[in-house]
Amino acid sequence: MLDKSFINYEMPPFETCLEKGQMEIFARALNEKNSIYTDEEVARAQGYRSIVAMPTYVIRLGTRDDLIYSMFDMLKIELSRLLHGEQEFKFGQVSCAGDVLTGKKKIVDIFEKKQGALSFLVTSIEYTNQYGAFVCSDQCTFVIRNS
Amino acid sequence: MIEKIDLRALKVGDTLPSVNTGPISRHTIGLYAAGSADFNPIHTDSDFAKDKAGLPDVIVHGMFVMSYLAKIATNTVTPEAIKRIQTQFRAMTNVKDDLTCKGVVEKIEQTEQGKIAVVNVSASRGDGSVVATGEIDILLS
Repeated sequence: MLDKSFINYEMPPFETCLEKGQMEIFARALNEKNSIYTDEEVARAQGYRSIVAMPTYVIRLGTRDDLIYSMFDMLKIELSRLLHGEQEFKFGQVSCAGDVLTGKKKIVDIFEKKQGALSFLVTSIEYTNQYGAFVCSDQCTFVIRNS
Repeated sequence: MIEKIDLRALKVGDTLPSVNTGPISRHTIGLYAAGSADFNPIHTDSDFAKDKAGLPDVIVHGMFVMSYLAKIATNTVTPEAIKRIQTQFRAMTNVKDDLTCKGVVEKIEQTEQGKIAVVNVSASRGDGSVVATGEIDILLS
């Protein structure tokens, strides 16, 4: 069982830079062939600041140890019992390598199902870029197996 | 390589070009862990997966599967047109699973963002079992 008093808990805003090298590894893992996601020259020729972040790359920005593992520790969640149940991203402006985003993370909901056999943790992160524009929201539902 | 589609002609029931993962190797899982900075050992350490999580082996990141579902969109439309991606993870994806990611236009609706095509997406193994489902919203105009 998770402590429901953490519902609406907000973490301090954090800044994060979209690192080109890591975006390239991400695109390579996914065998991405659309070169605006992998080739700086192609991306620039199409009017982007640098290579474009693949839509799900945003997940990386919220998986820093201090953002995620510290939250699991705070909620006393064991990694071996944790599953990713559902994920949603909504997008505003497109992000490119070199962009600096500000993220605000909060715990949206905590609830149980199956007489407490499963706990659910819903978190969200809202990101804006260095121009103050909305770029993405990242809503994540984790499932914790209690038995 | 990149199959661009004519968004103006898109209609309900249309199928977008499908995407295959190929058999997912431990190497690919490792690359994805590095690219996404998701270092949960359940994905990379078979001893941890067996001894701590009670699984037969490591499992593929759910986000790897979602990212492949997103390729249905990144392969066919510009980044600006991708407005929402949502996925439910329905089963664990295992090493060597070979997933096919499919997208079908479910509805086209007028929203405050503009005209949006809601695409139903799913990732399934060769035997037809589904590991993830979801929706992608594509801005048409």
